[in-house]
Amino acid sequence: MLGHYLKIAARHLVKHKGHSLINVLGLTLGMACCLLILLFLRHELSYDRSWADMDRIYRVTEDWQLHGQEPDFWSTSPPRLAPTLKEDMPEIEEAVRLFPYFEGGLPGRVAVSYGTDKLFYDRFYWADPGFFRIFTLPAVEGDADTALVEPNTVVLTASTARKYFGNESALGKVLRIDSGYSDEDYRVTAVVEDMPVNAHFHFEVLASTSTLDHIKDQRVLLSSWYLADCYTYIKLAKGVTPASVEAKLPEFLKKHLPPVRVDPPPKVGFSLQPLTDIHLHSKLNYEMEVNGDMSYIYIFSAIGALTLLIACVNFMNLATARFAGRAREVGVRKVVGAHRSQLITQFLGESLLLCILAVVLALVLVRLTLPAFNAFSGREIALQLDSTAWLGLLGLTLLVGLVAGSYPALFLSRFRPAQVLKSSLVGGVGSGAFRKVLIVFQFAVSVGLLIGAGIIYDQLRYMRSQELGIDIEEVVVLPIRDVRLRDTYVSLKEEIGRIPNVRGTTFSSLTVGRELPQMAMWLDGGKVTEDFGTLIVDYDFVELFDLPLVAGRNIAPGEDKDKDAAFLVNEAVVRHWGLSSPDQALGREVVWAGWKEGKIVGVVRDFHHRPLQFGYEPLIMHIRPLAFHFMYVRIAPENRGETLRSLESAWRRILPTKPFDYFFLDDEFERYYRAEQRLAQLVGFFAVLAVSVACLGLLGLASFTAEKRTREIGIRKVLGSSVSEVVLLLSRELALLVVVANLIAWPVAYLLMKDWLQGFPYRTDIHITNFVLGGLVALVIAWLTVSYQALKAALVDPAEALRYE
Amino acid sequence: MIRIEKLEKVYAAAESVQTTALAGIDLEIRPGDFVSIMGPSGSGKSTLLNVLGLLDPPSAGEYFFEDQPTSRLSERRRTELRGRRMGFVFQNFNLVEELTVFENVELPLLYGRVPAAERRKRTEELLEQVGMLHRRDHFPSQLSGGQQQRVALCRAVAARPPLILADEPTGNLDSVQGDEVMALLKELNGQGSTIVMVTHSLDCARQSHRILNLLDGRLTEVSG
Repeated sequence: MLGHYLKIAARHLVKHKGHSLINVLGLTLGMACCLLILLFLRHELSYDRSWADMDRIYRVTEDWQLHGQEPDFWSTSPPRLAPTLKEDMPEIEEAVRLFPYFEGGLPGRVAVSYGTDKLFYDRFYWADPGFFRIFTLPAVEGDADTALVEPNTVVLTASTARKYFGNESALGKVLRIDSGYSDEDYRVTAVVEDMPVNAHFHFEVLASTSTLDHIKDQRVLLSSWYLADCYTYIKLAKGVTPASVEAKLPEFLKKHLPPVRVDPPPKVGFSLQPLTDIHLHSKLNYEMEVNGDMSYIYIFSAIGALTLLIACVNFMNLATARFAGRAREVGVRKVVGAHRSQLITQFLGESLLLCILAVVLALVLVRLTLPAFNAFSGREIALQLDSTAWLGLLGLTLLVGLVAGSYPALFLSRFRPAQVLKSSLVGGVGSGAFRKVLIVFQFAVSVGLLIGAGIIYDQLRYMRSQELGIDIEEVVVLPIRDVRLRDTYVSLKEEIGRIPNVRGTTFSSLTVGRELPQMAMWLDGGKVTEDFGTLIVDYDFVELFDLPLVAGRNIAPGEDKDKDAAFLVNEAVVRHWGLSSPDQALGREVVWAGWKEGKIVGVVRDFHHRPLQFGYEPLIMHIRPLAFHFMYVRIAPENRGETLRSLESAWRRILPTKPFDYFFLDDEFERYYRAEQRLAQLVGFFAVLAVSVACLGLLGLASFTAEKRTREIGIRKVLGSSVSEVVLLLSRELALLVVVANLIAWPVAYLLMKDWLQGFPYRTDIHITNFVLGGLVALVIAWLTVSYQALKAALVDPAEALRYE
Repeated sequence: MIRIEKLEKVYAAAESVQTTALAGIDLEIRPGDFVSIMGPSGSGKSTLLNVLGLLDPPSAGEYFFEDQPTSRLSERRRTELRGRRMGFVFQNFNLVEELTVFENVELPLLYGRVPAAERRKRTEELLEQVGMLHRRDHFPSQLSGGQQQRVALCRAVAARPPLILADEPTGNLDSVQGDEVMALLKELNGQGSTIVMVTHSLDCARQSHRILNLLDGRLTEVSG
């Protein structure tokens, strides 16, 4: 019997090639989309799950709250925490620290040389010896457990080792490492496998923490309880719950945390964050790398399910529309003894066959499009199907085949032989209402996605068009990655200032565009303590970026007293203090970070030091050359290339051993819009896909409608109807369905997008044009799809049409 | 074989409009009978045949098939009876387009779970009998009307049913083809099959044992 079913299924497929192709194509697109999304979801949900004992591993995070302020949450923690936890709490099996080289609040770049080969690494850390007992990377060479005990030892990943040593052993080789803290030799004591792609952080070079003991400034920091300069990971002993450890932390802190000179003291707390939660759920300050977002998991899951549903709906629609030819077959089979269950099995089998075909094609399509998808999503997803994945794929195929095939199978098997055997049924009857509902659903989703894409693009355009209040055009940013080079900033400024096309230079602690560190400010003699974002600048910052002063003056050069004792704030600070005018802020005494005393001398107009996803934030600025991490150079727009070359030459004269590294500030801002841009592209892509799949279904249905009404068309033409009138007749009904779809899609899209826009402090209005355009696009595409079939039917010779049976 | 008592079939069209296709029919057909049912278009001939073939349940009355009342039979049981005890021949042949000649004839045996070897043997014998074995791998669209009807006849008798129901078997055929089909039907009747045939053709009807006339839903015996 199975052979019989397969045979007839294959013959139907071949006999109705056109409609089979439409059906398979629609299902293929839907399944390919769904598979891509499933691969993405599997990848995202797999982060940090490859480590042994991953369910016992936690990152220790810190929350810090000044009196009367909102708490701040940090992914970093103080260096003293890990060793003290390990000593004091038997519940903790292992506790390790990972120290990045921070430059201006970001991991800096470290130069690693072997002979004449010098490479720069962003992913360089100092790590405690127990690191590999938590992050269980297999060793390729050496013993990972002991590799980081001694000072000046280093562990490389396999790919890093290959860069320097090729296939030679790296053990015992000596590398020269020039970080911002020191420039010295390190011995390679182990090589480990590369970090898996699906980890929340990656390293290329790991050096021993014990090295920091002999670096002066770092030795001090290693014993700090208040500088959150490292990442702390712990592994709990078997059977220990994180709640039990967290319950002991308040007592632990009381015992170990030294007092601060702030009254009332800040509230400091630590929490255990499950390792496997970091990638999708963690949005703390100073995350190691850009994390994913759980909301995208939900969005993508919904999109994947919706796309598949549309494809299934299409399939159902096309299958039931073909019933006429099958109705007679159903009647005959029932007459010769087929039970309804046997017919259902037959038709479900045919659906499954189409589905299997679609899955095979979908896998090919996924293989072809995966590189582009990876480039778009910024991930490295591979089409690797283990036994679980194959089972899952089989399950999905069965599910889709059964879901998509259920309605046609149940519908077709219901026919009564007496009804179908004598009459010449052509086209669809009885299921018309359901098919119309399906078309309306498909187009409602498509129109909704088109509207959504339009509004997202509007929001992007809006954000880009808004005045930032700061002139970021033609500004080259040069990172200064070495703490020891701050002293050269004067000569750097002079040297670069002499280049003809340079219009100005300035320095700051953090590049405009990135999150500012929140520093404690004591006010009114220490009676009030607040946290403000701090930007350390030089005298020319206000002028270079054209920041209007609304009260007071800029920090003036040439006055020693001024250099140490002058602060600028922005209007957001004035509002935060509830003052009626900016002038009232002038003269207020401030102690910054507990040691720098001075007064507010000027108030600048609010400007967006971060892109428009963020509102105005209270900001304080002052001079501190030791903290200059970035140099800004405003250049003339003409002869850019030549200017950049001159910049490089000047740089190399002053800093010959440091790489000449630069980016444009407006590009940096642009980077922050990328998430929204990606979202817009994604929604746009799915809108196009949904419309395509819906139109495939419409194409199939239009041909059946035309076939069904052949006789009617013949009669109308004999009675004098023109071709255009016939086309209108045939396309009107389907066009009406698209109109109904719009009526459903518009309010839903409006509510969803309104909710999405609430997340932006600066948001565009929702324009009616998006709705009208979305609806029109769907209508035009639907009409074009239908009118081809309608025209074909209208041009048939009436005699042919009337003879049609 | 067949006994009908006060059989009625009423069709309800839209909004309480009812059409009485059969109005209290009594009929008895014995095994081996060859019965023709004649009447004008719309008289209810096909309706009667559908009821006899368990394709359409009556609105009232009782239909006994092989002394078994059929009104309370489940759909499953009806299907079984149809598949094993009845064979159908239609005016428009109703062969499955996607199946070959061989596969069409084999179909009832497939549903009757007859083993493959037995199926093959029986099908080949039947096709040989009607001179269609050489076209076994052809599709219905490649055959003439007469050839299609011969194949349909083979299908109708493949499961060796005691009853054959033929609805205008020569309606779409020319006279030569029609004669061939009637000859086959008579041969089958001669072999013991009970045949109930609906026809417009008096010539065809005269080849049967009994002619019944159906007019306005009522049956009268004309000859036999």
